Amino acid sequence: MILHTVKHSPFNHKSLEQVLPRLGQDDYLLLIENSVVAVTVTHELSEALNELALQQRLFVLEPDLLARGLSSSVGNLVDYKGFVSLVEKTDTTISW
Amino acid sequence: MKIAIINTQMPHGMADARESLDAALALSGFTENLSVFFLDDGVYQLVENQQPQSILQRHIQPTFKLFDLYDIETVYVCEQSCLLRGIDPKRLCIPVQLLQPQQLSEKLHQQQQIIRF
Amino acid sequence: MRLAILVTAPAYGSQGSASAYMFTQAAIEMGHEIQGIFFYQQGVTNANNFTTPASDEDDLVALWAALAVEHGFSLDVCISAALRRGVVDSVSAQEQQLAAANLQAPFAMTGLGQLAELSSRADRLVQF
Repeated sequence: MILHTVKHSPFNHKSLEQVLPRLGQDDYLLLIENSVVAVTVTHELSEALNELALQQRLFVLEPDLLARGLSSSVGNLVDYKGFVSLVEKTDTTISW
Repeated sequence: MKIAIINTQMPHGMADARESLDAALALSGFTENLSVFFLDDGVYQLVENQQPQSILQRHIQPTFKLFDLYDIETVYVCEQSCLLRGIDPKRLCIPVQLLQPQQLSEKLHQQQQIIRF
Repeated sequence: MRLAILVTAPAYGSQGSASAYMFTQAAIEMGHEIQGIFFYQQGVTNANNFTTPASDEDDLVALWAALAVEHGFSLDVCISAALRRGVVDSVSAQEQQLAAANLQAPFAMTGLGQLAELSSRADRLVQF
């Protein structure tokens, strides 16, 4: 079970698009830094992200959203302690 | 400890490929279970006949050939990443194991710690 | 949980080092054990005490140093990555006859073997 963290905006960088098909069935995805914009508007990856959110496998680092004046209703919002808990709950972390 | 190094960046434009290689050689001395993955633009690192000296970059490719000496036996390459970039996965500079997307995911899930460059 | 943190993001220019710092702080508050922080690639600039942020900005070089001293974990810097980027300890400064050294204490110059060492002592390795 892997925690995948993504930090780049999907509008500027392909890492989110590349990571999505690599997620295992139980893996978690955590959006941090600029990647949080991925859950603030509908775009071509939204369907996949919504699906992950329904399965409780999508997490968004809330301080990074708030810092950018953004908000989201998709995914579970976590703070840094929540981030640490996700690392503990999964076996491995990959920072994409 | 099963450790993986994942390469996702082009060579020469950034130092990632060089510094990943340094890390792989160093870590190989401490773990018998080091796997090196090449995905996305990282597959360009294995394209043959590179001449980076002409752009003031170091020629790291000969070092890949030392993987054997350093007991780095598992080198995995994402075949899809090669094909998407018009790279013939059978003509890379070192012997590798090609992985389909599903296999790639399986191999990643076998690792305990993963460093990505 | 025993954690090793790998920082490859610079002290200034991208968010990664600040993210790593906030993560580390949260982990400590939750009672997790930090085995050490390893600085590699651009991350070595976090050890440069010539870094001079504006007075109203956070100083990550100082923040890392203070957190490490307070909680007694090591800040390990890859020496080859550091020297290439102009982060120099006093021994190297003497050897290379440089005008000054700029390695912030308690950051320590080490080799990549130390990353392997930290990783072997940790339950999780997290990279920023």
